[in-house]
Amino acid sequence: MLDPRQRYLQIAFNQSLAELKSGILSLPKNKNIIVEIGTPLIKSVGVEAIHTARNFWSGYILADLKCMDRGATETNLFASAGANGITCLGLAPIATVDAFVVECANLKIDSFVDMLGVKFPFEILQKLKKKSTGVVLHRGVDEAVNRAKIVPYIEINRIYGAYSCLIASAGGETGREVARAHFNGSHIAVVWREFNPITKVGQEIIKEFLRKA
Amino acid sequence: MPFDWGEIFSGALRLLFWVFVIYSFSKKKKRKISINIDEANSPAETITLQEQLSKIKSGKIYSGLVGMIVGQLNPKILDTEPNAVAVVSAKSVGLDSKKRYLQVALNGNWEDAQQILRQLPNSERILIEAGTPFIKRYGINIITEIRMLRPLAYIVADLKTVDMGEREANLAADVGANAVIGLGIAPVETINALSEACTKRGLDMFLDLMNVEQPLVVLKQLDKLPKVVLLHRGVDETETDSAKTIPYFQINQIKGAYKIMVAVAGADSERDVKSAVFNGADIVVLWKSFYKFEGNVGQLAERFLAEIR
Repeated sequence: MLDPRQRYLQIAFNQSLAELKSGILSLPKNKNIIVEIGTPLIKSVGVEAIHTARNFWSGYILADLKCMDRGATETNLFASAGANGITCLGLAPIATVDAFVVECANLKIDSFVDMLGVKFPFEILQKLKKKSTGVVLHRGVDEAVNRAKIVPYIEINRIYGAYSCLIASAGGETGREVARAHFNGSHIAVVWREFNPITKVGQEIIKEFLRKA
Repeated sequence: MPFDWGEIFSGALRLLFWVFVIYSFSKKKKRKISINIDEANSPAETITLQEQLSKIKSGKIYSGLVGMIVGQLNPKILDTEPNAVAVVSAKSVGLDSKKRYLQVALNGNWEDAQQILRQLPNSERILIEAGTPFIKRYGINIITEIRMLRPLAYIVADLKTVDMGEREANLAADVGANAVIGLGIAPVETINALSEACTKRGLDMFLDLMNVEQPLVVLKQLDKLPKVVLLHRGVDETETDSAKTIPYFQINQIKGAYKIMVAVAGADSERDVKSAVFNGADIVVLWKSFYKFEGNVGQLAERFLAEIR
């Protein structure tokens, strides 16, 4: 389980098993680095992605499942493969999010509700029977073309103030944006563009993050 | 002996003419050696398809060739894969808005799914869906395996795309799916990106309207309409809230406004199938009866097909 007093860098791998393996091998071993298995990679190779990541990474692994239905079934499958945290869509029916959060609690893994496309995250969180471990605030990859849509940093302190859950911010892609996410109160900054495969900029982001952590 | 330049010139012209004829004939012939997919039912032709598919499986041929078998691949493959012309034609397996279909969703394990696929009747009115949990468990390449067992089927990849529309459409196209399902609640940019990529790759786009309160508002915002919209009652919703029903009233609302096909998911019994069709559904999606391999699923599918005739 993640510690809300710490700051984390979540690196998402989306491309292929080979890149996942080489990416993980190039990461420094640090408990503040989270390896995320991105949705496209999960859809591409299935649960095998978690097995591969687990073979090379002993730290925290998050499966970005983006559950939309059958919260419990999908959670079970990926938790048993070795994921420490799983995401569910905030846009999913409340029954699904509830089933997902309860199943995660039973399996003793973290549950993250991904607020991609959700206008009012509070409305979703209010309806839940059980509080999720965390929330992902998001600007989708396709949404990035629309410059009016920004990473909703404004929601971070409001949500944390009301629910004291972990907040992950996705959508920033530079060292400066990682720092901004943490400065604005995010516990986790999610990055992916510079890590598929890992570029020099990506390595700099990690170095800078570890220096400040 | 003096040269007869006229004779030499006319001889050269004649030679050039025949070279041109032979060249164009051979080129034309290469393009024409193809099997119409709709007629590929004789054992020999089926074996050829199977052989090609096993080559794809073993990685000897570009995987997109599966897509070509159902007539969707970029014709550029002909330049890089000359063998391909020996097998396929470009006639596509498509949906006909005048017909009604049964969509069998595979969500259990692959062992059961194989038995189910073997028993399903050979009907063009049966669509095979690789369900989201199924894809998340085995990966998208499971569609290539499904294609091995049902070379001529219309296969739907239920990716429930909510972001990276282009990437996910390409994933499905590369393994030879005929359609991709995106989510209606996804950002409009994602749906448009998915739709554009589907058009480019020759796929149909289905839009799943689960948890969408006003489908017409969503459809109005899109650059291009999906081929099919899917009205949904989620599995978790069904189990926890019996008051939540399949929104049949939306079928005619949508059909009144747009010329698109409507699929209904969440029906489980023959009675549900009957009422879905009675309410105007073009496609009925079933999963519970085909989750595990139990009893005679072939006969069961025949019975459901009879209901939606």
